Amino acid sequence: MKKKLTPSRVVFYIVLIVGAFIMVMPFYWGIKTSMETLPQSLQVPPKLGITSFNFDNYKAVWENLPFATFFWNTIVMVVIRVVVSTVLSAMAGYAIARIKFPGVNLIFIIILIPMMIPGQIYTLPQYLMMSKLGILNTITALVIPGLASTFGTFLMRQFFMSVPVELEEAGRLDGASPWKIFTKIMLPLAKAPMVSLAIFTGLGSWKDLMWPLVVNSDADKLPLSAGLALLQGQYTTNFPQLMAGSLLSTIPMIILYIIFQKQFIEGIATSGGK
Amino acid sequence: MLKKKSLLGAVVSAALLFGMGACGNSSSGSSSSGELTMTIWDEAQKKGMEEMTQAFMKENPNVKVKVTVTPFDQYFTKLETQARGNNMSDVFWMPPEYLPKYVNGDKLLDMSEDIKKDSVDMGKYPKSVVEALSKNGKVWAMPKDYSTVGLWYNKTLFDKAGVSYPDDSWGWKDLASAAEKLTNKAAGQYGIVADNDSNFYSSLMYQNNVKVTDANGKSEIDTPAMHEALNFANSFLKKGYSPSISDQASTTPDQYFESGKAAMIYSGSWMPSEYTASGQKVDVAPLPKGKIRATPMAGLGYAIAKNTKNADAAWKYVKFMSGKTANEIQAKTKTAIPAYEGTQDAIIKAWPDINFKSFVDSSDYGTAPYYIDAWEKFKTVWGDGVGDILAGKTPVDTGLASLNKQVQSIIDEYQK
Amino acid sequence: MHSKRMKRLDSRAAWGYVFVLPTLLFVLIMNIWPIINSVYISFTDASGFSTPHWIGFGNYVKIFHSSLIGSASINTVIYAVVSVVVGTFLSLILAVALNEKMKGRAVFRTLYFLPVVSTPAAIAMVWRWLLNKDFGLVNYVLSFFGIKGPNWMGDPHWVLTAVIIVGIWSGIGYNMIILLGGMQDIPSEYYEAAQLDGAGKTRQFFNITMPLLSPTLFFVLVTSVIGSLQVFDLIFVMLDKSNPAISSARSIVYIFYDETFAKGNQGYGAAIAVVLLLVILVLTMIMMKLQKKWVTYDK
Repeated sequence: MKKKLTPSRVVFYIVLIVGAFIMVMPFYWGIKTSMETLPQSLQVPPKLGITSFNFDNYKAVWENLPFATFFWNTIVMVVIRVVVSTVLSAMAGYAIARIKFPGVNLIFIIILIPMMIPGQIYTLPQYLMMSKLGILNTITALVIPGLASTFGTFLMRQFFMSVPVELEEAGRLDGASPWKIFTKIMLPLAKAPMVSLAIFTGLGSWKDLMWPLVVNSDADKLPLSAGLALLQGQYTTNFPQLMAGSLLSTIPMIILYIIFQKQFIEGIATSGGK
Repeated sequence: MLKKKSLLGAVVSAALLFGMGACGNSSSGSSSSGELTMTIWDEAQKKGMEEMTQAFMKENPNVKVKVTVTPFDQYFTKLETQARGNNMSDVFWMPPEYLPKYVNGDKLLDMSEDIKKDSVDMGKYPKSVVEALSKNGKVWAMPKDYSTVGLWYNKTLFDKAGVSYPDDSWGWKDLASAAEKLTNKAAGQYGIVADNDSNFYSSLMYQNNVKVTDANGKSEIDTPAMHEALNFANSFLKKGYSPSISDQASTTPDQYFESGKAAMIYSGSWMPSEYTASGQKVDVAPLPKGKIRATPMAGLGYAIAKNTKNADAAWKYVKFMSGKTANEIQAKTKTAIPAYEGTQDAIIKAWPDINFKSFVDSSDYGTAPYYIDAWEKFKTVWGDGVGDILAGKTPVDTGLASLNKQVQSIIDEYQK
Repeated sequence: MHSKRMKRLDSRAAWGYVFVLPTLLFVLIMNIWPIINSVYISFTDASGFSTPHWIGFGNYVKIFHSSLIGSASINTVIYAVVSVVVGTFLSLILAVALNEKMKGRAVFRTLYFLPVVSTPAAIAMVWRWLLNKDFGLVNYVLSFFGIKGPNWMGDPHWVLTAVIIVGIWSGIGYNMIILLGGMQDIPSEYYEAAQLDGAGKTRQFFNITMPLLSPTLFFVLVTSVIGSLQVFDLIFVMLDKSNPAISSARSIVYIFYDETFAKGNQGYGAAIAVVLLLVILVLTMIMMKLQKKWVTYDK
């Protein structure tokens, strides 16, 4: 059934487009700047239109910094963190939502607390831990702080609490162990929130730059965000290059997002109690 | 008999050396071989540092040095974290403002003995830089570079207004009158950017022979000299010869200068690459004279971690890096003004279109604040207080009086 | 019979612990231990590398007397309330709008998501230009409506608003995704049935979407509140330290950062962090209690 193009529909689209424009505007600006030379970018007032189609900055950034290594480190760090933390979050979230065991509420609060204090207080203690483990300046050190997720556990708990109890009861009546119920019934249902969770955890790890810079020293042990920070000088920053670098590092995330986003379109929506 | 002993001795020492070498970086601290790391905060200077390091390693094949970069914004957090974890880099850049903290925390290696032993001539470095890197009569870092502040100006705007270019005869009066002539409100053009930046107001303070505190930690904030200096700074803003501080929050001081909207700016010897790339015809002159000639001078040094496993090698390295050869290489990289006397030619030549020499010459009268121990604690209060005055939030008189009280009480509490 | 049930409960409880253990252990070691450490430090005068001395509640007393913390708290609360309310509202509308089958849905979803993937440095640089008083695009557009745009970055009355705008801008896509994820499991049959019953879009939204989405919405609200009360990066990267208007935008975490890392007052900084933690914890528990009133689980 085709939707008619009513006036309200048109307004709807216009609003959506204006909104999208506002979302995208800074990107446009970033792209524009990334193609300018330093003098061009220093013009005041800045010109609205694209002043040049110059890819020198991208070349410079790629050549001056081990970008390929940054990409690889980021992928390793993000993939491990995402896979492990998403699974652990689903497990913990399910247990907290559905299994009544003594102390569950206390445990839930304990798991939530880390979110409520500024992250900088973890830097030194976690650094000391990595130091004691002798894994400073390694990719492992990048990965460890992200292996479990407070945020993820909370999200999965919310999701599992809205799953109909009947589904579980059916499983239990069949004599399935909690593990089987979890893996065979709950996990398949949880695809959508898990995908969202994967996107966030991915993003959070990808953006974090303080931790990589503190725990690792060699440029070739840094992920993208931290590697890019090397472009920032003490007094001056070559903004066109910084923009070029930022955009280069954004591309993988956008691609990943587009791929995962399709999952939503395909409609993972299950139809109720199956 | 002798032969046998010496053969045995040779075998034993060979075995020991071999054993030490095989242990890699856990070699004993008194050998001048081994591996070192040096940490810096500017990626742009990495190549230069590596070139200098290569030259060192050629002369000292037993020592391997690796240069790593931590971006400036994260540098000090990381340095502190590493200090607490007893994991500091062997050698690292140390600026004067953080020196007290690390000296008091017993994290740095005292270089005074080595300097004496190797007869290093500290007179080859600007006095204020050496002083800034010393404490309690000892030297804690060897000078690497220095920077000073000059009067950058826009030649085109000066030509248009028919004002002659600044030179070393200028005093405060000349600055004020030039700023007036170069301001054209209607065209949105300002004579100068009087910014909320230490480069500007500290210049005026030092030229009026006053600093934030004296060497003993007594605040000089509520003195007539300080009032005079800040009133002068304020005058440009009050008279409209400079964009207001809140304007500058929107468009930065550098942007005003680089876009030709301001004719003059007090800025540093580190700005040539950005200013000359702006498309404006710029040049630089020595700062106008106040009661005395002065310019804020900052210099950083190479420090050695107290707990380095390779103290001897580290000292050799630092001595080389702060020596003549290394500094000549540094000058060629155009990145910073090397601290060693007479090595600055290359960087002066690297900027033929501007009077870069004025920066080097001004090192004769470079001034730095007294980096007393409590500096870290009150620098924010001081910076905020001056900012409020320049922004017109508080008048100079009451502002300085209250600031004086605040800063002195912080100092007193800290020295307790 | 009774013992059999008990046995099953016990084994279920055991499974519960097993599922939760990895995360719990991780959190205890990596997070809770550092927090306990910080609490300890907050009762000392830890500063620089000197040995800390116990000073009891000294730091806390200082906090309550500090007008700096007072104004930072107000800034933080304003930021949190506005950005959570407006941001959540916009994310919700967006999620609903982009949940329907429509042309270009995937494109829109990607475009609205873009801000989330930007680096803070890039965001700051770009928005500073957009909000530039004389040359920025925002004021330019406003001028078409006859409005003279304010000095967003330099005027104390507008700085916080500027930060809020950028905060909301960068967060909408984030929450939109979460809400979209939550909507995927609402069976389309419900909507179809409702439509057949003659219920309009709005009725469907309030009767179907909202209740079924409420657990996810609750999540978005709680995490947004927790996150916005800790706002820091945005302010740090958009406003220079030399900006005199910064006192109208500094947040609690900003003060914490300044005290701990710039001034080296670790004890005082830790106390600030602990107070913030307690405030957020109390708020979160209140929200948890209130959720019974409007969040529906397990239809």
